[in-house]
Amino acid sequence: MTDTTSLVHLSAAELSTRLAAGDVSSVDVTRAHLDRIEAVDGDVHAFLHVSAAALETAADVDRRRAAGDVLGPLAGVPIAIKDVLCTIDMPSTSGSKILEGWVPPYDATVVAKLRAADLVPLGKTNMDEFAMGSSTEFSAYGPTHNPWSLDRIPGGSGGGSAAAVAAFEAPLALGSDTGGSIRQPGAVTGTVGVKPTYGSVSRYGAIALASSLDQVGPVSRTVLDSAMLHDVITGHDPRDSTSLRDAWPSFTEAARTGLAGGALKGVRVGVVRELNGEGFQAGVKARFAEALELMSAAGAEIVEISAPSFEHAISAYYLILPAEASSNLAKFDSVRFGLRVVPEGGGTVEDVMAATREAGFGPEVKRRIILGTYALSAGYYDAYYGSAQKVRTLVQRDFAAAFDQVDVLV
Amino acid sequence: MSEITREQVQHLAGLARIALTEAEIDTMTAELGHIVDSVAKVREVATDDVPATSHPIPLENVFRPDVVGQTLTAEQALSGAPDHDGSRFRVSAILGEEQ
Repeated sequence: MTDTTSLVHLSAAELSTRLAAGDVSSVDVTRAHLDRIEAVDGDVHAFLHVSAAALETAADVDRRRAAGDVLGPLAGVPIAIKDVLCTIDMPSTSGSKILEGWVPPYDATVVAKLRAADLVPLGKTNMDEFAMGSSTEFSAYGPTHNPWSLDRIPGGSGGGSAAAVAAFEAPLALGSDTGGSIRQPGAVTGTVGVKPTYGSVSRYGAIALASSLDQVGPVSRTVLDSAMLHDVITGHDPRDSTSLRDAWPSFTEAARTGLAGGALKGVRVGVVRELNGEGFQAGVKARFAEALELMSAAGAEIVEISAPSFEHAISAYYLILPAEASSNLAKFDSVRFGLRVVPEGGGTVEDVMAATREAGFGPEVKRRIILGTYALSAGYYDAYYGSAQKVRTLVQRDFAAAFDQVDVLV
Repeated sequence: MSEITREQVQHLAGLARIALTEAEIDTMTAELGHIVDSVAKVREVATDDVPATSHPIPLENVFRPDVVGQTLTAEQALSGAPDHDGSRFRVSAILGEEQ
């Protein structure tokens, strides 16, 4: 007899070990998480859709394990999926009314990889509309709440994935990160989130925000779990033309080495002088200093570095992101998928597009599309978008100089 | 100083195919002015000698082999369409009456 309530408190790595040993079934693990969602998601609102097929998928994994099939390390482990990712069996709305109820005719590559590795999709998680936001308050389907304190935000745009993991509704989740949408919710909910190296994880089937910045990545409660999930989703995808052909090292192995201790000996950790300015709460600064002490005690060498262009990065980001988003979101034209609103008395296809986009997009999305259209329009392109692209070069140079001196930045 | 006018926002909304309401145009004119002011500094930082970076990784001419792969059926491609005739997407008139 398994105590199923405690199953939700296990990490993905622990679940992996127990599932492989036959101590517990994927059906038990999946049911425990579905029960947890049932119990707490009314308050947290991490999920936009809960899969009706999860238990069936879990049972299939259990059958194949019992039959002696060789399964991957995360086989049978449940996972939540950010609603920005296309899933052939569940609605994929990207948090927008313009895609309400849309069920894509294909899976995103990362979702196909999860299925091939026999993870069990639990459902789709809430997010700021089209990933535009840092609080999950801009979802067209209502906000997600921070499980640690329901009157606080869980961060965003991937607040749903972070909250699901923090509330023990799922051991793992997928997120997407353009300007912090995985990492910042991780920080705000006390969980782990990684934006992988650009080009290492396919974006095919990820509803694009700003294509030169978007990456899909893991969300979890432990570093080892994120490493294990990262190893499942990386790799070249011919369907994503920005996908790199590099062979990626095992992050799981690296994380296990780290767990063994002493692994920071000789590692140079960079602290950016320009990011040590105003605007931090005292508690945040104190925790940051403590983290540096811990790293130092573990053998790391702490080095202060300078990155003078970083102070302009946010301005450049606020031009590059809307510019690319205004182009990417042009596809929501009421023709091939999603909402169609016909103005009173009818109209041309152009009138229908304009009425549909007025009705289907929320205020933040409209604001960014208009700003992006401005930054890209004749007469302003060089001054704004062009300048932002130059700042990008300066930021890149600062990073290159920093990594001449240190191995990692914190 | 903000250089965004109400007429500009109206024009941009037309380019972006969003039928903004009058109230939205008012709000957005003010908001856009603030945003543009706050990001205008990039114009000073970016001097002529700095090349632009459009993309983090310098990949060029990424092509796949020219062979037919797995594609969606017409039925799958039309499955999410607001309107179709079984083999094509259906839209309202492309041209207005005056054209």
